[in-house]
Amino acid sequence: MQKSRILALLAILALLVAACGGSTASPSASADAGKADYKACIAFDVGGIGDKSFNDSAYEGLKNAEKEGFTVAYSEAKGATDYAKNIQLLIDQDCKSIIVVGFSQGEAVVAATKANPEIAFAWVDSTWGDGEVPANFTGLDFQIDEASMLAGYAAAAISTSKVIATYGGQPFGGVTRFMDGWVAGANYYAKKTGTKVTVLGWTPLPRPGSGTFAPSDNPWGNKEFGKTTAQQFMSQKADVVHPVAGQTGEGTYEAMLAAKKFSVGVDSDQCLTLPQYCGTLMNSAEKKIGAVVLATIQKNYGGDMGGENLTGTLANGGVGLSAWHSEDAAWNATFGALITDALKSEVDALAAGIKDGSIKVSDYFTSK
Amino acid sequence: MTRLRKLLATIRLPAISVLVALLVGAIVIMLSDLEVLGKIPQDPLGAIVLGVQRVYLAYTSLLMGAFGDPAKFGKAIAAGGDAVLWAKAFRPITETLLASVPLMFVGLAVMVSFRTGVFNIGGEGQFMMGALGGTIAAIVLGGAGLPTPITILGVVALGALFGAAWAFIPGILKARVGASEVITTIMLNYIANLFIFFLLVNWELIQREDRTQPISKALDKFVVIPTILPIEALRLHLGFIVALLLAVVVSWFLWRTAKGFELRAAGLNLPAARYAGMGAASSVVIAMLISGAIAGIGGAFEVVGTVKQLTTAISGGVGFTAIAIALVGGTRPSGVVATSLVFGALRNGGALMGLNTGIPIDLLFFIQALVIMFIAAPSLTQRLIRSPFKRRVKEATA
Repeated sequence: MQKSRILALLAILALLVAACGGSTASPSASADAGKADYKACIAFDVGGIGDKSFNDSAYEGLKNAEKEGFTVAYSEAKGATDYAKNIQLLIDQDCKSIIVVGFSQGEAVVAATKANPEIAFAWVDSTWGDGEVPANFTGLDFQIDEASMLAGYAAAAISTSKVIATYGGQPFGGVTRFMDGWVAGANYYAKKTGTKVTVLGWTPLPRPGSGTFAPSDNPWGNKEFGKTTAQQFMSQKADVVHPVAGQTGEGTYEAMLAAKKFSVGVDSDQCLTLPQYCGTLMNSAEKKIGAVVLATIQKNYGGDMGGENLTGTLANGGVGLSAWHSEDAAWNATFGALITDALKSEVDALAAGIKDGSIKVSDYFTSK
Repeated sequence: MTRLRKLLATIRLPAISVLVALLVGAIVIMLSDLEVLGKIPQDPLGAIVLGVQRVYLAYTSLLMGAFGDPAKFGKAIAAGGDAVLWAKAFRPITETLLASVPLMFVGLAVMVSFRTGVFNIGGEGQFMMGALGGTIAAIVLGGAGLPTPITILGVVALGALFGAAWAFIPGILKARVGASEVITTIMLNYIANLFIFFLLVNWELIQREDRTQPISKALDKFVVIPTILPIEALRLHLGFIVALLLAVVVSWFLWRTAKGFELRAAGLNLPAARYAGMGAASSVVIAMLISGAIAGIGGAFEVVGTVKQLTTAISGGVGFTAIAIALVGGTRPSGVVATSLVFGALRNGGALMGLNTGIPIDLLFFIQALVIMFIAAPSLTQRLIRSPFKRRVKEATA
């Protein structure tokens, strides 16, 4: 009796499977057969796709690669135990270019790079640590100071007190580079116009620099700190603040908005991700991870497998200043009169200077 | 024959639960597919066919990801002695075994405490602390240039010690002041996570030299846990054998020793055990110590043998999956091992499924949750499966 029931169940399952056998979904053929044969892949970290920030931008890049005709695939980790396994899975699926997102995947990507010299690896937001960079590895870093220098320049220009400020989440390179650029932009403005500009919160020299940072127990989500720090800066006459501390910055935007003063966003175009603060966000210093991912895939496809730690710059579009949101009513009410066409073209000129190398960010770390 | 029948009877409920959960999962795959949903208004039949195709692709990917692709075996056989192709062919199955290793350790750990009537939800934290102990031992002992076997013994010992110490806290709190172990173990999971984060950014001994991020040094520079398969590229390591041995030891301990009997008696009926003169409080503490030590060894093998770097993502929810495994496995070591292999296969095969179909691996956690639900409600599950057939049988006989 019991056995027959189980058999019946198995028979039904077998029928179901047979009914749909022989049909596998195949992706539509592309015009460029070479690209269709070239598989580009991303290994995401825990909490990857759907984070509305870092990882989603990388995914955006992969989707654009697919639109260009590449075959793409991705894996998603649910814990450290998946890192090496997922990268190996992508290798076994014949991925030719594998982009790894997230610093936690360090040892897995290093081991895979060494073991598979015929596959191109890239690692977003990290660089090869020890010794010479292997020929099949690209470290993808961001020269974000070039973008934040533009922001610092514009901030110095719209400031009435000529005091601007910044602070970070934690004192490491990925953060302080924003702050370096911010200071450089202000100093460049001062040098160009002869007006003295004071920057609170960061002194780049002597290296490694010193400044204001969030308490280490909760550097990236401490909105209260963001708020009180903004108020403190305002009491020292600052009227534009650039927080580099993730969600901590939202406290700053709130305080600056309430005081009808200004701020500059970080990482992505925050007038889009946090539209309630468009009335205080002049613009944002952006890491264009999606563009860099796409560029890396194209580079690998072209035969260049790496051998370098690459850097996103203004010139290659890896970093940039987000758009002036003049279409937004709140932004217009605050910045419509301040951000003049003359200022916009000055910022564009500065960007052109940085791109062609005639202006170097590190030359403006001091006001002299 | 009777033994076979007995075995069938024991695995019947879990097997049915897994099947039903997979069927429900199939429906979810169909209903969450936008293309299938979009087709329903104009072409309902076509939508169903497309949906079934999607499910077929998903589940065949799951199987191939977990047990291997016949085509790859064919290629390997055709090429003869090519180790790379053999590695490719065998990797899915060895990765399934590897994925089941931490599940076995923590599954056994929580099983021991469940048998003693202690609902230890802290497998996650004990696993993490064990990983921390293993990391420290690997860096200190391996860094001092000790021979590999001694270093590995040290890794296991410190992992067990750290895990046991972490489990001792809720154990003694429950025994002495009656604090609910459900609350204390779950809270200690968070503390373990944050403690390890703190050490990773503040303790030079373990933090990676050239980084400011919360990651440890690369552990394979200090010690490598030997792999157990002849093909070098397959990374199934000693931890798998240790897990199986531990299952045997746990089984022997619980069912063949006086202390084990005391623990089980405490689990079955605490007042009765106390009345019979068994130390109920000491049973709780001992169960937690054993539980924590096993989970800790699992963490040590995971970080030193598999991942080779400590981060706060080291546990990846293993403590919670382990609770399911202990329950599905009927709180028996053999059941835990078998269930770990099934869940390991799901976890490992899920990666290929996600890659081929874009279905996130979260679906498998959903299926796992369903399995637990069905196990927890056996009468519901049996009715779900039995009744349609029963009626048909009756009609046939009538």
